[in-house]
Amino acid sequence: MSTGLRYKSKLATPEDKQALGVTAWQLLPSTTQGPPPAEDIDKQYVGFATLPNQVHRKSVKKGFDFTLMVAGESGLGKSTLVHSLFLTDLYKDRKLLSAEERISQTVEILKHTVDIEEKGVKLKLTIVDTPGFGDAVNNSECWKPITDYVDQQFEQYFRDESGLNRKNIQDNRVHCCLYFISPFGHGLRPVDVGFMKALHEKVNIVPLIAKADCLVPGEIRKLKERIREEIDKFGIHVYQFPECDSDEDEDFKQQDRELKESAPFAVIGSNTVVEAKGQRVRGRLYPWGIVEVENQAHCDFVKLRNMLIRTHMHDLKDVTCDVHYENYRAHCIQQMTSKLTQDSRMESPIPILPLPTPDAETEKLIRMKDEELKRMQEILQKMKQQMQDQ
Amino acid sequence: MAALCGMLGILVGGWEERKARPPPACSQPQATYRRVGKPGCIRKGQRIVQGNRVTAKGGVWNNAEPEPRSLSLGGHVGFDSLPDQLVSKSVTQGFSFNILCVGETGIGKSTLMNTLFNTTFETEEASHHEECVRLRPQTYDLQESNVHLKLTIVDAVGFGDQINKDESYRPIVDYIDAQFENYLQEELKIRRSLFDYHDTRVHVCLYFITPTGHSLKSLDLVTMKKLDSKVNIIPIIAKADTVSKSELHKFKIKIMGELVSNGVQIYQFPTDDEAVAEINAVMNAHLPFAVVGSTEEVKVGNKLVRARQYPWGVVQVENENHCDFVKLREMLIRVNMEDLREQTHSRHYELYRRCKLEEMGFQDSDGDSQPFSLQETYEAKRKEFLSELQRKEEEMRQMFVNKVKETELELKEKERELHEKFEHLKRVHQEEKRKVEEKRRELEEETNAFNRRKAAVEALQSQALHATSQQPLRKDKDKKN
Repeated sequence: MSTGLRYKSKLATPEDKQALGVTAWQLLPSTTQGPPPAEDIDKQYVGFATLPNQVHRKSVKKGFDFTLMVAGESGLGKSTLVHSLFLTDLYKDRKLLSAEERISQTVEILKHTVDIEEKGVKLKLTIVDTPGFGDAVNNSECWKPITDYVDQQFEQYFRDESGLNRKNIQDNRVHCCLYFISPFGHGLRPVDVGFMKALHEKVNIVPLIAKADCLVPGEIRKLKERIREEIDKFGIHVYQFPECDSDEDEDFKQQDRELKESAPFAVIGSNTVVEAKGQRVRGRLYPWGIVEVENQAHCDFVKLRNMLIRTHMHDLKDVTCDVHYENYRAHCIQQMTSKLTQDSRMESPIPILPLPTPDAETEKLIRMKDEELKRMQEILQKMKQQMQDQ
Repeated sequence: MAALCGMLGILVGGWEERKARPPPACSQPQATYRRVGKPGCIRKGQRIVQGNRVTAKGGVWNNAEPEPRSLSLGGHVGFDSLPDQLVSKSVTQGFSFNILCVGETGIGKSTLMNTLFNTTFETEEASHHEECVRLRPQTYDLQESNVHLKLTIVDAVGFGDQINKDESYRPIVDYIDAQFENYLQEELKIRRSLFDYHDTRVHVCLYFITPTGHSLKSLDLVTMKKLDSKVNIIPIIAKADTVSKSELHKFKIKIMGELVSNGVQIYQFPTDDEAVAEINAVMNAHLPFAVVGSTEEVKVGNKLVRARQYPWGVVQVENENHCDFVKLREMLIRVNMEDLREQTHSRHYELYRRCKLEEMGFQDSDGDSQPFSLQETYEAKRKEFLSELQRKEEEMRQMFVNKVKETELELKEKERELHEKFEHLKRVHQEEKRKVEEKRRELEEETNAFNRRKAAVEALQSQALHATSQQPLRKDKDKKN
């Protein structure tokens, strides 16, 4: 079913060759006539416009990987949504605990990895599940195992990256976290705020309103506004969709705008297929009607799927690598250098890098560079503030 | 209404039993009597089928009393209007009913109350960031035909929002106990007016279960266990339009299973009254009720009904296929309201009262034939308490006096010491003074001696000078000459 965003492919096609030929010709100063004959175009065409095609080919060969974390209280439909998103059942033989067992339950981290393929493109998908989150009676610091897990993955990658043999680095870093907000309340709860604040600097958080079939459209609007306000109020940095390029067509820009305006997405999941209007669709059957999961008027599931899989998957990975991982790495290195300067003879209890122990000169250099960095960051901040004030 | 049925039951039952059994020769006590009305009093004219050891205020029944004979009436007497008299009396008095709503913030408690009573109780929306659970009671006066109802809705604000929910149940339990306590105090007063008393005891607790579709939450289990001995609990599944029919069936079975396996006693609709036994039994099987609340009206067919309008359909609140709202309303208001009140009074309140009085040290009569008189025991307790108090006071006074004496002695000691020191210092001072005086005298003598010598020397000097000064004068004279 073709719904929603169609990813605009930037691969070069034979027509482009023609267009490019023309541009290249325009740069030549001497000609004043119309477009040159076909053989001349071939001569002027350089050909690096095929780079995207080469990238495409190589990446298809290499395959992709993606790690998705789902978090939220139990009973909000997380497993059903994952099933609907990826159309595979990852949770066979799942055992749900009863209420008395959950009174003092601790949070576990469970990883399910599947290999799926579509049109020759292979994806190694890892779903990190967090059963037990928010289920106990006393939920203080229930997000700690999750933050520890994320940090652990960063640390593992850091060590691998600094190692001698870097051929087969396994990237287990969490690229995206879908956080499920309960639709039965009036907005964010303290446990939601605590979780998001603990993780917003480490992972891309995409908040979702779960089980949205208990809300009429007016209520959905109100709840989304409320949640957006509260996210701003508490200073939580959720994943921001990147701005689309200015050379995209209006349709795409319109879709992108709509996408941004409907965050957080109100989703419904279903792993059953029902018959509606003569068609078989994924949905939920009620005595008063049928909720279709892929109907844009019913819920934002399609938007979420497009965003997560069809358009922004790679951007999520990039932000994880470029922003969250780099922050972690810088923080780690700073800690290490400060520890080493403090106590140079003590063995550092942090991951042993195969770097040579910095002597005094290098230390000084590092410190100077750090100070410079800090100064520059301050200047940047000031400029930002100035711009905001203006 | 249960009082009414009770009376009917007694009258009817009395007839039946008399027909069934011939009067026995000697009476073996069998505990088959029914207490109707307020505990602690036996109504006149009430027939007791078998006598048991019933203790009434100031009266003693014993087993030797023969069973009352049953007689048949020769004509219509007219005491069959007793129930009507009872009804008209209670209608003039008015009824009071107290509902406690417990559930997460935003689960639909206020909306359900509005839907149930077909009116708008103005309540402000609660925030998710309350520090702790607090209870907010609000009283409303409702009237339908000529029946007045004083309805109190108690809301547990902030329930389920905190990160640490260990103590969430405590404010609720405290509130319920406080209402029982108030009633107990009123009952124990010397001059009391129970008929006029605004009964604030919680008659029913509607527990709102979140429709996760899996099972109860751990908080629900813990809270219901704490509340089941204090109040009638009716669990309901809120926002049930998010659970499909098949899931609902499984969900209900799971919930009831968990409640049973954890020993939580929820309110069972009574099935001992023939008039309503059948419908109650059916309803018992539908627990917990899956409800949807709405105060908005939507046009369905050609009439306006209360419903929720979704893009995929309309959920009608009063449609039995869609949700169990109608069942809840039937059970809660139309059929069993009076029974709820009575259960609260006769079971939960009695339990509380017994525990409280046992704490205070009262006991029911135990073996000997001394009648249990609240008054006497109270007096005895009071005397004991007072004497205890007096003894303690004496002790304290003694202690106080002793302490005072001790301190006095200490002070005296100190004073004496100080005095001594003072004397000592004085003496020392005198000594020093004397010494200094002596020294001064010596010094004076020396000075005098010195002065005298000085004078003598000066005299000699002046003589010598005088002698020598004359010679230069002669020389001068000579020179002049």
